[in-house]
Amino acid sequence: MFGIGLSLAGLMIATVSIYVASIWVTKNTLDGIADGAALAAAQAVDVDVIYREGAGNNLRLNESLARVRVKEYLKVADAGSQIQNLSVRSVSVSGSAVTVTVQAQPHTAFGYLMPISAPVVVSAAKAINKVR
Amino acid sequence: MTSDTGNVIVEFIGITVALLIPLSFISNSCIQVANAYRSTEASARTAARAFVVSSSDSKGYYAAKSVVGVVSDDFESQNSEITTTISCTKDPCLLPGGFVTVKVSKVVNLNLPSALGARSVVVTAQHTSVVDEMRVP
Repeated sequence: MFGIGLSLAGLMIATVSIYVASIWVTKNTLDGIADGAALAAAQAVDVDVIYREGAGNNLRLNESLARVRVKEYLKVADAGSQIQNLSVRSVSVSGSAVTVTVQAQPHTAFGYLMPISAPVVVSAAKAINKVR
Repeated sequence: MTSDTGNVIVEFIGITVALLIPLSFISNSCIQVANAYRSTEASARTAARAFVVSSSDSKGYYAAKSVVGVVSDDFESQNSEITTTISCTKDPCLLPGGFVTVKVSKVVNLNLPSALGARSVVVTAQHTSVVDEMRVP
């Protein structure tokens, strides 16, 4: 009986460890993707503003162009193959700064054994385009 | 009433051999793989950044490979076999608006008894960085 109990406890610990490790790996990968996507979005300089008001010290970003850049980045980086159910939650521009938030559902090896719904991992990154 | 007497030395040896030794091998292997994962992830990200801020392609390749070496050194995994692959969407790589992808692979030799067969795992990470659109060529 003692041996069976010990084996069950060991299996439970292993299952939870693998589950948490899956979430950790997804979070790390998502951080990298959000980071790169934010830097790509920071390239979406609003050229019309430069023509109207000059370059100044800060480059104003265009939100719709930033969304296009994020989409292009995710395609080129092949982010969909690195992580499952990846989606862009938001792209928000504030002056010369852009914040990109992405989310994904980790592929949990023993997720069906867990009494909770599948977790959603979220990561956000902010980038600023400055005139140097 | 049943007796609960036993031989503590035999039980201790049994638990140590059956449980603690395999557990130490497994945890050691997990730590090695996790360390390699963090190392490749940091290497790929930093190398891609280093490449896109370089002044020329050749300097970019040199900077990226140097960064991979330095980061691996930080993670004390220099003895592992590391492969770095750099690919670009434009030629030359550093044309404004281009993307540079750095892929770092590392062979992790696990400290397992040779009787268990395969003793190495390949850990791979990649990162893509964009070349500044307003960079001065």
